[in-house]
Amino acid sequence: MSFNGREVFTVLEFGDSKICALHGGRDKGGNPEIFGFGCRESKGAVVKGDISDFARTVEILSGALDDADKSAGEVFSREKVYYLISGRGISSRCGEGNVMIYGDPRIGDPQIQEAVEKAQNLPIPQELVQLDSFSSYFMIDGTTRVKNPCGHSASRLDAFIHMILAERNRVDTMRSAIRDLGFEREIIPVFSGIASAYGCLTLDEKEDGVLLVDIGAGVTEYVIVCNDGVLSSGVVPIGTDNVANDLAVGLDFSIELARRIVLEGRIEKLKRSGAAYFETECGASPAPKRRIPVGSFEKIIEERMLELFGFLRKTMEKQAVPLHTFTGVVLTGGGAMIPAFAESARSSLGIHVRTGDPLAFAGAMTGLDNPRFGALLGGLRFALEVNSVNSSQISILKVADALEDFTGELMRKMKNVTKVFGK
Amino acid sequence: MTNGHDSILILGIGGAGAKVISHLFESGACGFELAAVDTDKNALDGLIGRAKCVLAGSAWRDGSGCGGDAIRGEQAVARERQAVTALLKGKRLVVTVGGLGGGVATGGVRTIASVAKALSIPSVFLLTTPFSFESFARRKLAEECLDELRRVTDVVLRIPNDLLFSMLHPDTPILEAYAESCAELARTALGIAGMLSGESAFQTDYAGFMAAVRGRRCSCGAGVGVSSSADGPDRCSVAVERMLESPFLGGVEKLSEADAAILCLAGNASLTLGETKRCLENLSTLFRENAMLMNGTNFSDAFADRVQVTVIAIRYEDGEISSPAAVEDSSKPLPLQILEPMAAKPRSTRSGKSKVRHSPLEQGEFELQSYSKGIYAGIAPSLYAGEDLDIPTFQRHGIVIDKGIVVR
Repeated sequence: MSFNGREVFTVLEFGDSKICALHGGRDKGGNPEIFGFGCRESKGAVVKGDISDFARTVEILSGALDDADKSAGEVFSREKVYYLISGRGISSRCGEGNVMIYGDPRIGDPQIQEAVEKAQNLPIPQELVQLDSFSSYFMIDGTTRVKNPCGHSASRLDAFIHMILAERNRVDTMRSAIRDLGFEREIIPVFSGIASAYGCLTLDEKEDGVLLVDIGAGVTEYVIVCNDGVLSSGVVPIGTDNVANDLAVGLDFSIELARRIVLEGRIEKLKRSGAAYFETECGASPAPKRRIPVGSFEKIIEERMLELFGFLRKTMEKQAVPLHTFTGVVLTGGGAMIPAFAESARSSLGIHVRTGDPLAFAGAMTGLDNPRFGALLGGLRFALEVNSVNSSQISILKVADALEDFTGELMRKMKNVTKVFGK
Repeated sequence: MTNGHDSILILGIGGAGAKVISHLFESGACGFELAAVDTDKNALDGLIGRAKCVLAGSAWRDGSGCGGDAIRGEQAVARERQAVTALLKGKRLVVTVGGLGGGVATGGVRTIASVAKALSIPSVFLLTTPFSFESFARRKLAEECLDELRRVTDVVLRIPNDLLFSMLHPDTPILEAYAESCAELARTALGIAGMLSGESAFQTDYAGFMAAVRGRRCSCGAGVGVSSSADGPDRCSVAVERMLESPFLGGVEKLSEADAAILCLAGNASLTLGETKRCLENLSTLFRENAMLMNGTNFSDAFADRVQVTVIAIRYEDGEISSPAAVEDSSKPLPLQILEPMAAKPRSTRSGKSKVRHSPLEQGEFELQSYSKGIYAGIAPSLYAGEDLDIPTFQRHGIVIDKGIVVR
């Protein structure tokens, strides 16, 4: 499919708050360009990143795709699609492979290749599928950690690979929903956290080390990137809806009011104005007007945020990331637009925090230039980079996708093509 | 005193805090800005006109105090957020002093921490915990308050009142013991404010405090000794001796048990290299070898010919408070446990009620479900690190929330 002679990629996102569709490709300068965009509210069809109401999800997704076509001014044929996947079914593993080097101690490409292949040979349970794999780092003689071992002299080389896995049934459910909309040829899942990293991180951040945190409505994805490799990634089932739900339960609000309070940053505004109370007439039940101390809101929000960033801090500690060279934390997703969240991240993690807006996208960007759409736009960049870096790899993926049902394990291994992050 | 001192606020919260502020006035040589927050009109009466006072919850408690109820204390101080903000605005450091276990300090410190954080003001909380002979509920309340506070602020110094036992004679009348506690707390607050007010030569600045105590459950002993040229040629040694006699230090043996310590010699520019070296070296020998020591020298013209030796000896109790789970780990499990597949148990509550321990032969009881999952009630639980994250965090941590008051 093409648009003004350019190849078109479609990216879909299944979020707790919104289901989105995006058509895009490359502009003349080779940068990602948006051709069309459609977004509809999820209305409970997706909960915690998983489809909870299949028929409704297909209906909403269909509407979002139609909107994207309308916005582009052209109805695109439904062939190639990348979809963002998140939720509780995501997990990750570290693959390790080593090679003993005899004779000439200089490490070359064959040794690196062998170590990487061994690392990729991690057996994966039948109920899981591998979404992506990224080189994390190499170790020389079991002591020195290096980014690129080529040219080093050593007697042993270890390769460490970060693999992102997803539950097969969840992947297939989303794939079925997309097939119902007419996509047949290529339906490729991408972990939402990786897509956000592609959308919002600078080259320096990926090189020096960064923790990317995408706070969505239902879940939070994180990715730790260092030396252009992925050290860790995962999903924490806490999102902005958890904060809203906590407020609704704790202060006897309707969930709609609680969501508005969180997303509009009303408490921050009250604090800035020095007000001591939040006044409301809207209780969960018909209730009289109440004056609630700002401190009550702070307590509820802080407890939840400290819990989230506490988990992330532990993850960073486990990875022993070199904090002295670490660039900091990049917050993206809808939660990044809430000032209290950034403040909690800063105080909990003790490192620099910035808001991750989508970087260097062109075209129909109206309304998209904010962290809410970091993952969706990143998904487009991921699609473009994967397609341009190595078209032969994609050929393998295409064949593997088509034949996976028939040849199973063999084809899965063919798909284990290690990508170098951000290159 | 320099103008820099004016922008440092010593804030007394609750009855004990107000007494400390009152003591600072009576002792005369303070130089820092002083303020008090309490719900009891009588406690603040003596301070009105001399310090900035906030009578919390006056509209509905009529200045009659909150009767040692932490929830009322919390409500009262939370309602004075605007006044507290006005009090703290423009300060470069706030040292909050109070005695935990009662109402206003236990309930209100979090509001002070929140306002200080919102205004980006470094804050030190110097809080005493009740004597061991006081009720279990008071001590539990104080510990819960400290755990909560450590999650939201950087420097919390917990000083057990029991340290006074080590220095005071058993025959000391109880009122005198409380008065001594108050006086010593005032000296310590002054010492810390003085320590952080001057120009820091190395380490013993606010960042040093943060590095030592941030996010850790610890117990502190604090000693301050002041001497001047009139005390003889070796004024630093005299100051060290006086510091060692500080009741809140708990005796010299407490120093050898400390895991970390902040040692500070403060004086004016006339402080010599020899004095500094001798003093800090002597102090270092009082600690064990692997203790984390932060030595420093602070300079301020305000000291004139006086020198001040301040020691904060820190004993870590049980690791970091990085996650709420760490707090729960400290309590022993019930002998008979019933597995709850769907939901995590809420933590202890602020009510101070102790859990009933069953004998191993006794039938266990399901705990009353006192939590709600709201919009997540109908979906599979989000289990992560052993907890159901769909249950509001404040409920799992047993934190009481003020739902506000109905406005007629």
